[in-house]
Amino acid sequence: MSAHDRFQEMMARRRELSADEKQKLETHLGACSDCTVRAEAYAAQSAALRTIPQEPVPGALRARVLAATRERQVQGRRRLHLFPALSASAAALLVAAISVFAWSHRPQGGNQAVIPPASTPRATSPAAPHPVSRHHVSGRHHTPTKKGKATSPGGTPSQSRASGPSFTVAGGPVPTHPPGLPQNSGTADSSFPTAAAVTSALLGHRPAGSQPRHPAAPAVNGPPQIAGPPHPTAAPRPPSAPVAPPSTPSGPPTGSAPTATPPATPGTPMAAASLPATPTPTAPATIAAPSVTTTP
Amino acid sequence: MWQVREGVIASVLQVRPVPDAALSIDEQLNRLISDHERALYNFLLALVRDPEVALDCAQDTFLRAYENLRKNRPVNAPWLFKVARNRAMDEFRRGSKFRPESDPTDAVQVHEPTDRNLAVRQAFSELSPSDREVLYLFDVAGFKTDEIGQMLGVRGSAIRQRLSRARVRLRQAYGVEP
Repeated sequence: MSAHDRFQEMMARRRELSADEKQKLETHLGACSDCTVRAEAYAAQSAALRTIPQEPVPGALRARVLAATRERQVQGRRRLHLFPALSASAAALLVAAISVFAWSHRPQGGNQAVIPPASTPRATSPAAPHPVSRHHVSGRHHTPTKKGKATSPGGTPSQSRASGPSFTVAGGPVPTHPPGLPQNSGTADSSFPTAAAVTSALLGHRPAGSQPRHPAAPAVNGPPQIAGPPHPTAAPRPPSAPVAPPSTPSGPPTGSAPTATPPATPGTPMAAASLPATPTPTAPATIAAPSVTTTP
Repeated sequence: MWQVREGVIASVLQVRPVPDAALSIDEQLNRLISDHERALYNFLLALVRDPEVALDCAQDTFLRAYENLRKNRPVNAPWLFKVARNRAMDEFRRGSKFRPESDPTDAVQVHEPTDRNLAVRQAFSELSPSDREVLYLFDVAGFKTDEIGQMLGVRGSAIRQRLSRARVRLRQAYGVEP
């Protein structure tokens, strides 16, 4: 910045110059006519700008500001009043959610008490659950066992879990709600459907020869449930389907319960043996059941 | 109507003190409004040239001041002008519909300023907002260049340069060669 520019800048802000700066500027202005003209022009600018009319402030400004502040105060108070209620309701919702979650996981532990008795016939039965479905079942229940929620009556939790869902149906609820029946497939009670669905899925994947795993089925609604295999998937071997259920050692559900000591582990090799016989059906038994009832 | 006040700088300098912290927040706010509303509103009016927009900006500025007071933060005139200026810049960015260039002849008919003053004010209204704000803050509002620099977030030396250039452009605008 040249000396001329520096003086030009000083002229632009002449009002705030210090005494020393003012003296320097005056000295320069005495020697430079151009800067003198410019200084006069800048002074005239400042004077003219100070005549810019100052409009009166609309009276609404203060009223609007104060109204807005009052509104904010009210909003703040409302928030303070709402906070306890909101926090209490949030806590209640949280407790409810936790209890629902805990309750939804609780019945599985309760069903396991029924599992061992029902597992006997299937363990002894030549047919074992389809490997795919068995893996599916065990896979589903691996997560709870990892969390330590599973309390298996005997053997490893995964083993009991693998046979759990199917046997709960076989041992306990089957007499009243046969899973193969059409009315139960869709509209079962709240705790039943999951076990019924798994069981029927296992049955649906099973060929005709594997029926004995449901010994209790013939007691109440035996024919329809046993007839599950006759479903198109089991069509190639119709004669074996009716024969298989009677061959099972236990008839009524009461008989099947106490002799459940043999774990499901023996059934695993059996399942592998029966694997080739399965025609690899994919439709769940719940869907296959209605067609079964029509076959007779 | 327009009201010409010659001693604007003195009036602005008079209202510099920070509100007394011993007062309640509402009282401090009332005092702030009483002291600064006119200067602030006219500054905003010089920037945005629309009374409604200027009023909105002033209201928002005082509400910001109220929030600051509630948080026990100091509020003074440079802070108010800084907030108001930023608020006006927001309006520029939004592309608000500003009133067309104000016609200084409105004031001329009432207050009969000299032709020179009229020409300067007309030229001032044709400057860019950046030039207008620095000229207004220095000449009309009476702030020092260092204070304006604090408001705008730049050094005082930068403001001094901007002020010098704005004066040159203003002089060019009303027909005088630099």
